[in-house]
Amino acid sequence: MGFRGVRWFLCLLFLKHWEQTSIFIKASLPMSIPGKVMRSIFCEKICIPFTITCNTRVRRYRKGTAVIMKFIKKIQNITSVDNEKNTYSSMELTTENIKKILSDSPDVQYQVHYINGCRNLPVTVIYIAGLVNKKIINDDILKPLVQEKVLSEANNFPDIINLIEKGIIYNAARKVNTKLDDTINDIINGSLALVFDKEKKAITFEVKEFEKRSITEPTNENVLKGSKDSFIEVLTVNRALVRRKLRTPNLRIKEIIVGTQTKTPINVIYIENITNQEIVDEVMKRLAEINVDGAIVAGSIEEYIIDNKRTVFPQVAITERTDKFCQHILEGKVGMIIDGLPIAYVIPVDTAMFYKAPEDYAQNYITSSFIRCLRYISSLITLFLPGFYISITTFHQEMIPTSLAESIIESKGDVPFPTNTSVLMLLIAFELLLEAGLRLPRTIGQAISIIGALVVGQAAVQAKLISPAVVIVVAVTGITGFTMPNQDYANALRILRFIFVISASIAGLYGVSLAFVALLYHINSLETFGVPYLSPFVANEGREMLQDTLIRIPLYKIKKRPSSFKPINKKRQE
Amino acid sequence: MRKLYLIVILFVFIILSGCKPDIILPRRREIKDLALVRVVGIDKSEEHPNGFMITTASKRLGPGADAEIMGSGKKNETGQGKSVLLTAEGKTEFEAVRHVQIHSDKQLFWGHVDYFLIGEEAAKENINRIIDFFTRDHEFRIKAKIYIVRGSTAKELMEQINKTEQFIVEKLDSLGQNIKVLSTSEEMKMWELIRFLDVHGSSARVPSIYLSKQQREGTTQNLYVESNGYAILKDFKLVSFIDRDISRGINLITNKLWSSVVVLKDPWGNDVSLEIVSSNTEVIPHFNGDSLEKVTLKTKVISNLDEIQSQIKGIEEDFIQSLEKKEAEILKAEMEKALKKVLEYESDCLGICDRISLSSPLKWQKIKDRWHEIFTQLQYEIQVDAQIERTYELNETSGYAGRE
Repeated sequence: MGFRGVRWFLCLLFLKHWEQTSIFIKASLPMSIPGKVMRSIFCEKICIPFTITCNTRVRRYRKGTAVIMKFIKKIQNITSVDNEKNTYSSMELTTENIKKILSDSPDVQYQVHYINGCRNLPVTVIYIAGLVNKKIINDDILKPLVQEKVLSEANNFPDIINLIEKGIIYNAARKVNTKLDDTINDIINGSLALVFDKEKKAITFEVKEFEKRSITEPTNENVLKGSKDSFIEVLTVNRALVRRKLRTPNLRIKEIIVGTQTKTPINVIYIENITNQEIVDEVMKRLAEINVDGAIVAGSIEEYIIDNKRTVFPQVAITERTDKFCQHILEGKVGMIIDGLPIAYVIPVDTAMFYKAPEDYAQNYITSSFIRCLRYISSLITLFLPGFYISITTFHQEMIPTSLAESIIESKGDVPFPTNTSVLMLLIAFELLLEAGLRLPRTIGQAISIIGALVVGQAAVQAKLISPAVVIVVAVTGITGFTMPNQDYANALRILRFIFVISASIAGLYGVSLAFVALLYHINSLETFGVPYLSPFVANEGREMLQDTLIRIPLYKIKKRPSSFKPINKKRQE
Repeated sequence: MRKLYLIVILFVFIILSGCKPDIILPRRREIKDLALVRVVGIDKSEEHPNGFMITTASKRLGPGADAEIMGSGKKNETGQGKSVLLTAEGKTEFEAVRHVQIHSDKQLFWGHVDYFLIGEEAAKENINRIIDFFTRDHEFRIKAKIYIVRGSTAKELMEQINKTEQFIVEKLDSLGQNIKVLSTSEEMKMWELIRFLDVHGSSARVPSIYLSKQQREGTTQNLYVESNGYAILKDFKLVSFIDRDISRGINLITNKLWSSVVVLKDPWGNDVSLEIVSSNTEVIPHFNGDSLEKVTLKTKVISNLDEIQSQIKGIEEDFIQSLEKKEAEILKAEMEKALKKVLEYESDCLGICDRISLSSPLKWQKIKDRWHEIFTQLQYEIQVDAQIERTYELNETSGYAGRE
């Protein structure tokens, strides 16, 4: 109650500073009902970039109004910076202004050409070297500009602009701009601009061509039977790859640009009469709410659109395989491709997705069902084994088969540390080895395995620092952890494993089961874009429990799309 | 609010976990600080009139024991056996157990006890006093097996086994497994004994073992422990033993016969061996009105012909029938003797009443209360129907054709 009172008080107090206050209110009222109302009122008008910065700071600033005033000022500063950026929209479209904004970068080329050699018809050609195809510029733009006979008939700018607009200079993507910022955006995106200073107009031609990686085989998700193309860094190419696989006219691609500085295009892909429109709208809404300076790393989009920020579990799925991506879209999910990332996102997700590997659908269904079961079991092993080992050796010794108990006692011999310490030590050593292996340059990568095998495996046992039983337990834990097809999910299990180790060393199996109850509670409370996280297991009255989860039934028997994603067209096949 | 619920629920879990109020969390012990007790021997105390002497055996672990495990074949130079034996006395068993702990350099852990050996003298007093502690204490498992040691104390027997190269548990395990090929005794678990004492008016049979004095020539290894049929308990007290010559009768009556050998004389005076492959005894009560008059034990034994010492041609039907008849006679005699001895001590240890209550439950209700009085006066009739099914691979003995 206290918080809510303070919030309303603040709301009244800062009614004058309309925008800033509402920003603040939105930030400070995250979940309560009045908060929601306020949100819906203010959401439309306010740019939300500050929510993210605010959310963490609000708590500190609840203490007093003086501090809050400071905060408001800070926001004002931020906004003023933001506004300054847009001021050039009021500037006139001239070469001088473009030069001023783009500064004197060596890659920006300015050239003055006379149209048809006529000295009183100068035009400035602006482009960025490296982003354009020079041959097209020479042959298809500059040559007609200088040599085209029709142009020589016109002797004033409006006529020339009109002629060019009508196709005297032939280029598929030409555009007449009257605004400075549009022109600059086009230039940055790889267009050539013809700037007519006197008319304050510019014509841009898209002559984009830049160095890009060719489409290669997937590096992380390799499959024996399956397509070999993977996504690359260029959005247009990725989009085309998807189009080539999903040839339906109902494929919808929506573009949104994120990042105040980077201006990264993001495409949201779905099939109109399959995917639930609500999910698409929600994705678009959340993408629109992002206001970040740059979307270069994967997290800069991922972390803004997920529902639950306080969890280790992944809430979006990524893939580098085009076929897997298209398969998900066919099931009624929404795909998302970000320019500059050679991966594609699939939303929403459920737990079963993280246990599915692409080769499951290429192999015999009995084989892949068996391997699926192994994966589920090994995820349990990797989660519980260290904790279970600690529990049975320090609390429940009667659970161990007698001869095993005797050999454990024998192997522990003179080991100085208690079991939980040695398990923790070795688990951390294992994590360190993993991390070191990632960071090490490939040429000296061999060293890490030698150190791992010799130091941890052998020397530590011989020096009686740890008992061989612990080494086996941690090794099995590590190996079973690697069977997870999704690395993000495997990482979640890696972190949770430590919680189970700690609870096991406090209260044995009793602690483990308490921690497990808490974990179940947590997973059950998760939801991504309206889909329960444990979806095929907890929702749908268990109808799809065994279709494509623990086992994979033959594909011709899976008649319906997963109902947890609420597809419009439920039937996959007759 | 939901998080608050979660915290409250977890807290309640911890509080109401059934642990002692002063220790909320379970006690933790490192496994390497434990000595796993495998065998517990219980004898009468010499110091205390009503006390006990507890002997524990746990496996000797560590560098000394390693040498042999690695397969060097050498015997321990120290001359120690495979087990660590500890003995202590006390007024009660619990006190004795705590005294044993004082002698031990590691903490004794009782969760892995596999065998309880009860000395004859101790068993003669009151077996309930002996098993109460072991069934009440939470660390012991009632799936442990129980034996009564005939003719010596449990401590003596354990010390004798420890002189050999075998670990006590291994010896007892092999004993329990091997007895099944003769079916003259059985392995009994603690919970079976408890149940038996509850149902059958404190009578029970407990398998027994003894230290054999027999010394084999030419070998340094002695046959130390042997199975010795059953010990019979009446009113919690050991009253008698049933030796191995007739104890198969008990297994026949109680349907505990896994396999056995019957040796007969054939018409020419030579030996014939039969292998009993299965047997089934039906208990048929004969009621007159509400009173039970007679009990028929109808046994069906199926055996195979395994060995013929005579040189005979072909196996005739008559020959088989004569063998069947003789086998039935032998088995019937064993059963009668065993039954007679059991009835002599008025011990209801054969489980006949269980079978009657299952076959005629309504009438059993009428006689249930009087059962302990009437069962000794009942008339028992034993019918044995022996069948020989197979004669295995030979029809005529080897070399017979050549002589003809």
